[in-house]
Amino acid sequence: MDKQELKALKKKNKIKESRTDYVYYAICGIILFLLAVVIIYPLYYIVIASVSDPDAVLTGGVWLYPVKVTFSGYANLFTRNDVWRGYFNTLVYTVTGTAFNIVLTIPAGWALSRDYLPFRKLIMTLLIITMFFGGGLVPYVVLCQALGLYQNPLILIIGGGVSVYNVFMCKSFFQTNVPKEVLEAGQIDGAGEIRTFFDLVLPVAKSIISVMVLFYAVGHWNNYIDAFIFDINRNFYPLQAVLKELLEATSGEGDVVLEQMRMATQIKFTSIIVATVPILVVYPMIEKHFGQGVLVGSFK
Amino acid sequence: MKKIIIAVVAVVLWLAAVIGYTVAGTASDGDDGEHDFIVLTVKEETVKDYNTMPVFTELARMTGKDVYWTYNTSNQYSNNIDPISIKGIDAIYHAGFSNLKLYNYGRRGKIVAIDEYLDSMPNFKRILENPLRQDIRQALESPDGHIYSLPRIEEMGLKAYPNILFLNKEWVKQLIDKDDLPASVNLQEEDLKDGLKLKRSEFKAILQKFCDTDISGVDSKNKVPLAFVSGNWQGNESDLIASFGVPENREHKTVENGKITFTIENENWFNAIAEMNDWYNRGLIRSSAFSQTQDEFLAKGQDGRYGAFYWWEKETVVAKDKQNDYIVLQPLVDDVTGKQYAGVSNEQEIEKSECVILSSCKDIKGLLGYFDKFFEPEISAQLNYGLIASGAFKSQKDENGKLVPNDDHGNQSTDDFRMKNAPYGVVYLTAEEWENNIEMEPRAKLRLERLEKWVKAHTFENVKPIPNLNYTKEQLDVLNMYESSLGNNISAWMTNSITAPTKPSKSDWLNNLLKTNRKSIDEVKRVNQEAYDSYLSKISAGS
Amino acid sequence: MKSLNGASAEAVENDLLIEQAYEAMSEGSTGDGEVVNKKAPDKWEKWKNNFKRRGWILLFIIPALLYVLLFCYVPMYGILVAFQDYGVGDPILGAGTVWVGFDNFTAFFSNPNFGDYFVNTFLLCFLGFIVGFPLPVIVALLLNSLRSKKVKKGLQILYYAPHFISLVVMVGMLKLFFGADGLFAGGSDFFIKPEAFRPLFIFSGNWQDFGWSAIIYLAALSGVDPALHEAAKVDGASRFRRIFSVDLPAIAPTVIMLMILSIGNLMSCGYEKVLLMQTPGNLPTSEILSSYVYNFGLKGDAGYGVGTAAGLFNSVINVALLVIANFTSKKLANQSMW
Repeated sequence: MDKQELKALKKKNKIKESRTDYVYYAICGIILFLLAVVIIYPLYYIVIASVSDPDAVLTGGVWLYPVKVTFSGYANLFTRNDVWRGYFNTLVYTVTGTAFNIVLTIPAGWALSRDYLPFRKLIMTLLIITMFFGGGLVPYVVLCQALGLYQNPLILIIGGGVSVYNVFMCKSFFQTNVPKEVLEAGQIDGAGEIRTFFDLVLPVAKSIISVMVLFYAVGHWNNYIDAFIFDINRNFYPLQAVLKELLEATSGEGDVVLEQMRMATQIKFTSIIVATVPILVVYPMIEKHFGQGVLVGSFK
Repeated sequence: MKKIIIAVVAVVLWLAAVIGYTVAGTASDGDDGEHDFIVLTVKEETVKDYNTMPVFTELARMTGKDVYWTYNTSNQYSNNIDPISIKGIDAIYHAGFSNLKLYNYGRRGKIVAIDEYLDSMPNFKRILENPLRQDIRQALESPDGHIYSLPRIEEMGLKAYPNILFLNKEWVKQLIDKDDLPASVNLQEEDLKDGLKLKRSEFKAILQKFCDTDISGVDSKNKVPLAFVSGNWQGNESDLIASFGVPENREHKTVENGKITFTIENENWFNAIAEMNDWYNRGLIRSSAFSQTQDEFLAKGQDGRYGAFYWWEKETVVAKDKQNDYIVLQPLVDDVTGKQYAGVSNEQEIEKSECVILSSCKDIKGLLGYFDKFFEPEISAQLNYGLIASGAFKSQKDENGKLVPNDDHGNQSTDDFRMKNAPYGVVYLTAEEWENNIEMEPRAKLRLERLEKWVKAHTFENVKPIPNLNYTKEQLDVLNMYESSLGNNISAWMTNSITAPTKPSKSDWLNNLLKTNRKSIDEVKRVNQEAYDSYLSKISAGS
Repeated sequence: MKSLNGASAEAVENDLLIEQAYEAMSEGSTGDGEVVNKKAPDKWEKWKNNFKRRGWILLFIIPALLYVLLFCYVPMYGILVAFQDYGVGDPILGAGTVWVGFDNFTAFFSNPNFGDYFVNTFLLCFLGFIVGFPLPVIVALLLNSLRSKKVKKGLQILYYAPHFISLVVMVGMLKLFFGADGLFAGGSDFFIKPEAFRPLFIFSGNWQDFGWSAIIYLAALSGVDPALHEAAKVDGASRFRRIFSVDLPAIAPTVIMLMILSIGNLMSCGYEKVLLMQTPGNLPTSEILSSYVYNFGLKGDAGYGVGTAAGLFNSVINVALLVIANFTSKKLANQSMW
């Protein structure tokens, strides 16, 4: 089929095509719009609840707009040193930890996607087993104690280093998205395994790397429980742990319970926004790599 | 090539910086100086540093012992799977170990068997050897007969009666003014004061009016005729059920004539549920009673939207300006028998594991000697409320020689002061101490006064709460197998029966509650009976 | 019309001989080595040859493998707790260990409500899967077909934002909207009704996570060659048809793999949200195995032994499900996890 023929055919189909497409886009638009509506109200609610009088929130008086607007919740958070320190710590842990994750995960996914990997079945089985069986928390902490990671912030970077689930996702990506032609060309050039990976595979893996960065980074960003389990020094708490502590400190016993509850209500909503906005800002920067570097088509 | 070198250098520098930073984090945040003892406590950030609390500086002066307090927040502590492995500490305050954990650590020799050191603890020894209070010793002993922890004993006589019924008298007044009182109710305005006695049918009729007529000052959409928190430890529906003549509490079990009994087997219990179904369908009880948390209940109550409610004091439920709208009702009068009943709860006033000493402590006797001071009434009171010097108690005693709490904390409210300044924990404040040595804080006194005046007199005859029982391993196994699912089944049946559109039938009760759970009920009863019998025999042997 | 898979299938054909050889090699490595050797010494030679030539690829998996061996396999002795009378502070392997055989399992199975809890768990997870698995795929396909990049990106961010709401707040809002006097409750209270628990749980879970789960599919879709769409257009395929002829085949491997993994997790619903949503009224449907074990083991006294036994039981079921799912997928879609 040469180009002119193609054009002619396109024209011929155009009217019919666009009519069915019109219907499709309309339906698609409606569905996506409805989903957006369902999503947006509760999100909107969180925003207005975070700036409303906590009593109104607690008694269900906030519905459509903020009631007795107050920014005291935000003021409370942002005037605290530990919140800022938490941001800093989280940043350090997230960046370094994610880099560590990627260094382990991407090559592993690549290796598993190759049929010629020696012991492939054995390795796959070993990995799959860990998705279902675990020794529980106690032996894990005992191990980390032995490794000197107890009461050591390093655990927040090293812990959860490999998610087998993510490795499999990479494997699946490499299996389908790396063109054989590229690899064959590489082999003819006499490229070894290491050069193949760095020169041929990595350049086409941008999209899976960015997804992995996103998944791992969000995991680090939201992790607070390890800070408690491993008894980390308070000055080295990540942001979410600081926020959790604040919330806990406001759950009083007995008579002061009400005042505490007011504060807790505010912190609950404000902390979501405080902790989430940075991710929402960073996401588009990562997302724009999704479509890059995938060269499948150009080898047709 | 240049690029690669730069990248490598950057990565190395970054890693060095991060590792350097985290290494700084491994240094312990404890005090570097030498101390006699280091004790870990569990407290929130908002509570003052124990090292600066006057009560502890005072104790240090009295005993000459230098105790350094480090802390975990409750978040940290509850996630710490093995707190006794924290390095360098001699004891854990506010330890809160379960019975099993206490026993496990104890028999493995990780925490100290305190009963072996009683000679250095004159106060605690006297408490344990008091022939009249062998129940304390019973409550503290582990299955092997050892005592592995220091207790908190605060006997105000409040916990057994966690439900007082309050009625919005302003709403009733509105009804009187509009001449809209139910025909069956004969009330004058001057009757509307604490201690009002109502028949259950009268109460129901009033609630019905609350429900049906417009009450000024409250949004009819928000109005709740009768509010409580189902299954909560205080302010639950138990006393409404008890008014039908069954000694209900939230665990549905008590000791009747020396026998462990399940209230759900009592026909009066069924009658109560059937009647509550009617109340529910008439709108007198809202579904929120079965789904709200304690916090939600308290928050909603502030603006005075409850016509009546169960709680153990109105002061926490209702905001200051509305508090006087509510009066205390006596337990409801049963229409048939004309009797009044108050249920009794199984909440304990002896809390077992408030403090444990680790075996790694170098001077166990010395540390226990220090903690022994905590059992002196004056120290106990100050641990509970703050210290003389900082003004929680007046510096002098009243004419009867009792310590009197001081409400004047400048701008701070009493509650706030206590939250920040009182460490709580190990105290010994028995009924006897309250009688002779220490004046209760005003609010507790008020609570007690109401109970004494209106509630306690209506306790069921021959009914007692279940005390702190010690179970054997076999008994625990049985309880574990049956108790939690039985609890689930009871509360599910109860809630669903009350909120169903039609009245529950007797056969539903007999079959779907009692018959299906027959084995569980019998086993739980049997085991508790055995444990209770052995408890009784030990107490009588001790005295 | 060529699909992505078609292209790679062709390549596979070309490479068939080599492929078969590799497969034989990896099988030889896991099977009984000696037997393989005797039967086919050639295979062993080939394996050795391959190892020499391309064995460096192992370098890429070794770091991850070592990590998993250290942090996942070393602590695995903790599973033994399932056969012990264990409390925190006890040694798992040591002089004081009390072995109880299968007592913990018996305690777990002989609970009078075990059957109910089992069914509840299955229904909750299964229904959750039925609704929750296709939704992100559909959303990703629809989003991907939008022509305006800006709208697409905006919607994407909006869709995944709920992922970051903590469970406590999530359930708090649910109560506000669907609880007593809630805005959408229409005068009743969904929280005390046993029949409302599952829809509420599943609906809110999907609400929170469909956008997040769609990310992986969107990433895969963004790699689809525009030329494939052009070619399909030429063939007269409407946008709707191209979803099936172009987009879906492109993400099919990812979809199938995630489906196998999800089926392998069918019996493991977390307990955190369940506990937050439980009220005495909805207990008949809301008590599931994991929440029961939590209530039983951690809040109660008994413990770790039964909890671990329950976890082990769950894992065994999950593995069985995984194997079945994988087998089915191998037969039907010629795709296997391993």
